[in-house]
Amino acid sequence: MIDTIEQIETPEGVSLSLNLAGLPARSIAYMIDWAIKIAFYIILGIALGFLGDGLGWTIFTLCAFFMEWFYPVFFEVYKNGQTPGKKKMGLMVLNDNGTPVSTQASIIRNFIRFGDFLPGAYLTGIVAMLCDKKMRRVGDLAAGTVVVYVDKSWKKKAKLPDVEPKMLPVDMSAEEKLAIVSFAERSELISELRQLELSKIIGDVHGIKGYDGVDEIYRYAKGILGE
Amino acid sequence: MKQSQFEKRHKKLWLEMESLLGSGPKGVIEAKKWKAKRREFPQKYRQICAQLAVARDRNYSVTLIQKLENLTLRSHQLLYGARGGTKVRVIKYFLNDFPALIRKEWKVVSLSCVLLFGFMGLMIYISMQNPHIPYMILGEDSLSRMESMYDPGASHFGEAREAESDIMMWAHYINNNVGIDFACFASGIFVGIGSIFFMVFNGLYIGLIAGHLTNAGCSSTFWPFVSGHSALELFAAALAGAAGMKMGFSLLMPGRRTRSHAFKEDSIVAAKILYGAATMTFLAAFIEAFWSSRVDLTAGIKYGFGGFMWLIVFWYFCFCGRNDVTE
Repeated sequence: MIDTIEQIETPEGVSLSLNLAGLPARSIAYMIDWAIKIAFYIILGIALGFLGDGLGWTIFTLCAFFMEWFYPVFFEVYKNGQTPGKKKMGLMVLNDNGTPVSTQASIIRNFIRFGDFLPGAYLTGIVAMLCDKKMRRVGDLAAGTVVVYVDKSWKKKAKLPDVEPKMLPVDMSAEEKLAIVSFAERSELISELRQLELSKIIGDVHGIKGYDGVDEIYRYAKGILGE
Repeated sequence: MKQSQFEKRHKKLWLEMESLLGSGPKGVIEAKKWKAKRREFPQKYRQICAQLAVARDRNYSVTLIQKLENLTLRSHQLLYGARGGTKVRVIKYFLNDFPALIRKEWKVVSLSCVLLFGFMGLMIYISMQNPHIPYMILGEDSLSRMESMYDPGASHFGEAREAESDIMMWAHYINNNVGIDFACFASGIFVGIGSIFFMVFNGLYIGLIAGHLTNAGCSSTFWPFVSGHSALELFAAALAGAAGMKMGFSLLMPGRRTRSHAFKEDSIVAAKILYGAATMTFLAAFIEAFWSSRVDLTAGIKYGFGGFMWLIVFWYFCFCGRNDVTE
């Protein structure tokens, strides 16, 4: 089965899920970083032009060396696993046990970038990402890292529709109750017609037709949550 | 317990945790400093873990579980992310771990050395015996350019340069030579073949040029020029190749480990070899740019210094780190 959710277990015995990032998002992040680098080289080239050939060229060469090999390492280690491109795309690099990427892992994954690039256009890396379940390039496999989406869902607060709570008229299993609560929590994301359609699935339970049936289910949800 | 009761009861802890995380560090480095100040953090984290498990077991709503999961994940990252003592580890690495590691990995290191130095020696011999061979392979133009670099009458040796540009060449050597070290390592991912290619190719290429320049009567400038930085630079190149092979061979011969696990483990060993190799190349760039290029030193002094560097390198890798001096 293709599943982009990766489960990890903490030493405390609870499992956490990571939302793995795939080829398209990572490619765009890479291209953003690439554009930033090019812009940096142009600005640096103009600025150093005033210093004259000798010193200017020396500084430019050293900067090129560090940009080429250490730009991603610097951002991944000091900026929360995110190069500017990854930040823009909402991605971050983590060790595969869910902890922030270590300096060593970041160095390994970014130096192997050269190998992932061979024989051209990141062919090796792309093939590896398409074959690997966790969508890792060879550098990630060597370093033990994964690229994941930064989860921002915790910032949103689920709003329940404004209705009075009501007891369920029939006994339901835990999963069925969970489905009703999830339906209520996602009410703002679902179109009204779709809400109506979904509410008809358990039409037998509430026996109310139309949008009042939808509201009835929201009342049950509040009842289950105990509000 | 109903979900809303549960939420009410634990809300205070979640808010506290949220503000702890909010004031928390970005990245590993800050985390070290931050953690020392927050002694109560681990205990609170374990409480959150327990609450997450309870919430799952009681089938509380997806939103609540997601919220707790995220809180747990971010706390987990903060708690387990940072490890200290970088400064101590760097000192210990160069005094002790690096030479000890090279001795431990003597198999790949020897293989890499045999490839680099073997093909280099072979090519020097061949091109000195058959002076036409360098012309066949490299062509007249590039060879005459080489010759002009090491022309005994030149004001500076090494790659074409003006008087002011020692520092320019220094930057060039760092960018180019350290970059090649990294490339030798990275191309090891193809079961070591990339690294082997680099070793053989560099050996052949250097041998070809050295052989030709000796033929062309530049030996009085060429050999003194390269002697100073040769020990550090060549041995570092061999070590970078060895690092790539160490990593690549783990895919072919994982031993009693899974292939992916072996690859991960040996990549770390390879990276540790690479750190030292890159540092050696970095040091060699100073010698090459500021010492080797000087024309005011006699060949004798340069050979003396070069020999001394070879001795140092041999002494370092044979005898350093046999007893752990840092403990």
